[in-house]
Amino acid sequence: MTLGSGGSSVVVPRNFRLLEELERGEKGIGDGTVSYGMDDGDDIYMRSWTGTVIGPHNTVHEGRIYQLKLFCDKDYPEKPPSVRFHSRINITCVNHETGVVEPKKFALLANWQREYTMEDILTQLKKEMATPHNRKLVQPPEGTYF
Amino acid sequence: MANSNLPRRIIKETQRLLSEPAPGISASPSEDNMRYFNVMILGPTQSPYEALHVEFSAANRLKLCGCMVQPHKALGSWRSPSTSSCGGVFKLELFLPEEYPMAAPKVRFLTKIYHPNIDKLGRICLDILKDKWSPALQIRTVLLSIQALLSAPNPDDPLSENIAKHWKTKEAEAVETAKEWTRLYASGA
Amino acid sequence: MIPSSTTSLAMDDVHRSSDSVKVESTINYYSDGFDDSEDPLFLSDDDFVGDDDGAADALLEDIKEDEIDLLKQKQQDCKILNTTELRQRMEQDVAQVSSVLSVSKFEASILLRNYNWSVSKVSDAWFTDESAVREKVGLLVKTVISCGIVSNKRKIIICGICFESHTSDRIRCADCGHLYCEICWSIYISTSINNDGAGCLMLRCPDPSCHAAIGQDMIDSLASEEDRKKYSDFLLRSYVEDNRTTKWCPAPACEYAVEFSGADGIFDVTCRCLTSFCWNCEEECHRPMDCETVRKWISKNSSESENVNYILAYCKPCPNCKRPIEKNHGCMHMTCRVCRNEFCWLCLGPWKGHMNCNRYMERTDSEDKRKKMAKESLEKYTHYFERWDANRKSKLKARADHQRVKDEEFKKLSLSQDIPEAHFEFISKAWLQVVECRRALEWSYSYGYYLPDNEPAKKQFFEYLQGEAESTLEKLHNCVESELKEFLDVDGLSKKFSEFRTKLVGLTTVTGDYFEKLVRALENGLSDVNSHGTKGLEEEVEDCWCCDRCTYANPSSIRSCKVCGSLNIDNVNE
Repeated sequence: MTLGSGGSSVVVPRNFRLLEELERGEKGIGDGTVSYGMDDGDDIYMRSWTGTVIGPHNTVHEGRIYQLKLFCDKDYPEKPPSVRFHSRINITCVNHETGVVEPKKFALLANWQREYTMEDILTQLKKEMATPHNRKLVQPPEGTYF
Repeated sequence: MANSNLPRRIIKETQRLLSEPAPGISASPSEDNMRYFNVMILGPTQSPYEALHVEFSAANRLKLCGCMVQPHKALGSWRSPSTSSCGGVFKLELFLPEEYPMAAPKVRFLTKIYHPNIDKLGRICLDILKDKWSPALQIRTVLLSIQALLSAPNPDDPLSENIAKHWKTKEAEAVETAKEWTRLYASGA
Repeated sequence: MIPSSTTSLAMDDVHRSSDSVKVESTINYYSDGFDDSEDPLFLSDDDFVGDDDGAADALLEDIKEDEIDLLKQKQQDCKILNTTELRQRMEQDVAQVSSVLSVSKFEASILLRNYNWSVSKVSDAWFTDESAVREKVGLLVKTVISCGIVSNKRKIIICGICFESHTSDRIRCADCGHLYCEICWSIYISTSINNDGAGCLMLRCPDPSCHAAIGQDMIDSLASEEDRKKYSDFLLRSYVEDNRTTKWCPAPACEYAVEFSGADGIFDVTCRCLTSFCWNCEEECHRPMDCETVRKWISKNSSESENVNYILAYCKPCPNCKRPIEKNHGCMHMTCRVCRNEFCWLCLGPWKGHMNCNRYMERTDSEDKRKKMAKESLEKYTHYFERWDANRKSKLKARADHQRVKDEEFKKLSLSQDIPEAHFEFISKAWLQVVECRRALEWSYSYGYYLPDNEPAKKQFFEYLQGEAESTLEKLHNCVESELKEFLDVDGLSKKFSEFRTKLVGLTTVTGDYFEKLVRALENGLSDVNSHGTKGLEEEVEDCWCCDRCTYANPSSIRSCKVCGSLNIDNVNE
């Protein structure tokens, strides 16, 4: 079952949904190539998050550690969070000047459903890095930021 | 739709919460999600979370703090002017997960509070919300237990290590901080 | 050659002495002194030559009886139980408590679960204070309510969980009378069985102020078949795991449990799946080592701490890329193979512009000492580990060889020697002895590693016992491994075969005695040698004198030291 989907008729409200995501993130996800946590432990509304993606094997991104900022507004998860890369990266769905992941070019955000989670976004971005049109693109130097 | 097929148990509990609220506790479901409740708990007297100047049964006490309001029958909604700028009013949110009542409700404080069993995000360490949950317990019992927790902090089973340590080593000072936080954040604004 | 009758007698003596040796062996042994190479128990090969088949058969029966005795003794200490037997036992225990306490079987089961399945503990507690026990485990005296609702089926009752109205025949309660509908009960039970693990065995009435226990009768009538099966499995697991006298065999796919009642600190048990393990710590058998040291040794072997020591002793990190570099002699000019950094081995400074580094030598002096110690510790560990490991492998091979011999060679041998296979039990016994001794020898090396360096007397004694045991074991192992082969292809009843039998049987016994001695000495911490170099000092302090020269404790009846021969000075003065 997807996090927070809660079956057919039960809707998990924003805050409890984010608490679920927080606890899942604290436990650690899968092989650790994708992780996230809250930026400000005092923010009772849990808005700002930092995500990390380790570049997938056999791509120019391999071994690189990408930091992202995710912002969950009041209407999350009805609406997707805004997502932008903090570490510089060159892939098609990311704006070259701002690092913003452009929903038009990233299907998960474009076709957002409330069952999707921040983990799904990060995992999908990792897959995006390994697509044929992204895996060989020339990358900015490591350790530079938007 | 979110509120179709709401179990009778939840409907009945909600009705009773609204018609016979427990003293110092108010809980009302949100309009678009009947499993999601806005909750308000008054800090118990004799505790650092005490609602110092709010006394719903005595109108004259209310005048003392400069709020001219009608004494409310029970407590009313948390947006009520009766509680504004008076301290000791704690907002919480409560959600009944799909498994409820076989699983415990999820509850957390929205008002900042200095308490060894409540963390920065308002999460509460309380046995009946975890392994001591029983389906015979209700929203009302949960909220009463939380109110009781405010009267009797338990620094031996802490959620906030620092606050618990503070409580254990310098209790008087910790109580002062709790009072200060109550004044700063729990004014019901 | 010696007459057959004496052969038999001689063997009897060995048998009898093997019993007495268990008590006296260490004392007898020790009083013979370190340098006494003639051990009365050791029988040379010649002693075993018998020229009469009848004698050999008599011998065989002796051995068989011996083995049966041994098995009987082992079975008294431990019983192997399969799932069916376990369930039977559990039911017996439940039935016993039920009849002694006059409670239902379900109540008896709840009681036993709460008292680690000990029948005696339950009845002790019950007859000391029945109401306290009832309160503790949640057994209430039945109330009338439950009977009342069933009799009146028309009555409408509101369930305390779903708040729905139900006719009373759809309402159930435990002995406490708290009423909930069947649907809520079954979800409640199912939630617990699937989320709480074995905790579901301690399920109580949903009412938070009520302790009433929910017994298997409620579970069986309210839960789904799948949940009932899970519950019953949890119950069986609890019967084995919470019971102080039983444990599951630790072998991965084995479903047997072992019941153990031995009390003399010897925990070796063997499951029906042939896995041998220590009942106390569930590692493989490790006599004479204690469980704690075994744990240390295993973690030492598995952790790479010794590799770290190796790296410390022989490697330095490249000052540039930090990868460990091993120096293979030669000059101090090092070039890192990874990053091509050139540096001085001694001071780790860059080679370019390097003059000399005496200054650094002084500074790293203490570090060199540390490395020397690390190197020595590694050498010591390697010595003991190699031998531990070699014996472990030899043990495993012997076990496999034994199986092969039983499966394949007994048949051949039976044909060639015209003897029924049952008569080859002595060969099996020899193999089992080899396996057992390899195992003990394996652990004696681990024991040796942990023997303190500052007690040379103990170390010497230990090495002596170990050496003796090891050399007899080599003889036995060689005999059962190589000499048997000669008879496989030779037809007809060979006289030599009975000689072989006599020899092997004798070697088996003697080796067993040596190891018994070794194992017992190690198990009592080589206490015959204490820091004063005396044995049994506490008991015999009045009756012995310590030799001034070698510190050996001699009985007061003897005037010159049994070990070094010097005279008792005190005695002389008197």
